[in-house]
Amino acid sequence: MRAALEETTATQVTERYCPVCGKPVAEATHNRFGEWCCSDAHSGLYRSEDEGRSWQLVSLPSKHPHVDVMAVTAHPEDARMVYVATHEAGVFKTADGGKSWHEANAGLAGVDVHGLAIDPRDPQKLHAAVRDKGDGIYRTMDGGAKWVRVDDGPGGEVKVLSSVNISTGMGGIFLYAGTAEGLQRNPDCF
Amino acid sequence: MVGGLPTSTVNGFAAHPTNPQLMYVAMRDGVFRSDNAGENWTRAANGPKNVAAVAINAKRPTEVYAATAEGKLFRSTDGGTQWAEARRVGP
Repeated sequence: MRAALEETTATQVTERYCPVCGKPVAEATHNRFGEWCCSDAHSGLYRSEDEGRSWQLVSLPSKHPHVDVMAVTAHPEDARMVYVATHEAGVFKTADGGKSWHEANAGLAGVDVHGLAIDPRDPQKLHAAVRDKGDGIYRTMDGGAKWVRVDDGPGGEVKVLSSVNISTGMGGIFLYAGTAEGLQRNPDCF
Repeated sequence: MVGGLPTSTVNGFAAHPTNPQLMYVAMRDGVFRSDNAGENWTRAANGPKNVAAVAINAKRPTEVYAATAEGKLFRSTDGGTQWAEARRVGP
C-alpha cells in the first residue's frame, strides 16, 4: 500500500501517493485541482477529492469488467472535462467532472489506446496513439466526437504522448512521443 | 528522432507549462533535461535511475518529480539539478 508522506526536513517532501499507480499526487494528477489519478500501469482510474489522502475507484461504463487505464488528460481550462485512454475499451470522456462518462471512440479502428495528448492551444483537438488493431495516430478536432487516423505513428511502442506548445511554423505544434525506441517528435499537422 | 538521448525506452515526458522549450524525459538511465525543445539533453548527474515517470508541478514549475520503477519518489526543487528522495511514512 502506498502511503502518505510528510515533510520532515527541507529535502524531504510533503506528498501523497496514489494507492494504485504509486505516483505522487502531484505527478499522477492531470487536472489543476489535483483530483484525477493517471494510473498508467495497467490499473484502473482513481480519484481523490482531498489532495490524495483517500482514493475512490472510478467506474467507467465499459463492457469489460476491468479496464486498464493507460493515460489521462484534462482540458487545460475546464478541469471538468477529462479524457481517459484504456487498454481494452478505447477512450472515455467526462464533461461534468466525472459524474458521467461516455465512450468517445467513433472513428477509432482499435481500442488499445496507449497515449492521449490534448492540444494546449485548441483543447478540442486531441491525438491518440492506438496499438494493435487499427494501430496509428488518430486525431479528433471536436473533443472526441469523431476520430480520424492521420499517421502510422512513431516506431516502437508508445509509452507517452504529449502535445507541446511549440509552433512548427506550419500552422501546428509538435507532438512528442516517448517510445520503446526513444523520444520522437513530429509536427502535428499530419 | 530527437537527438542527444540514449536510444532506449522513454518512459515519461513532461514539458514546462509556460516555457515549452524546457522539457524532461524519464529513462532507465535517469532524468534528462532539455532547454531547447529536445535538441540537446543533459542527464541529472545526481538524479535517480530507472525512472518510470517524470512530472512538473504546474503551479510551481521548478519543482520536478521523478518516480522510479522500484517505487521510489524523488523531487527536485531547482528544475532538475539537485534531487532528493522523498521519505514515505504512514500505513
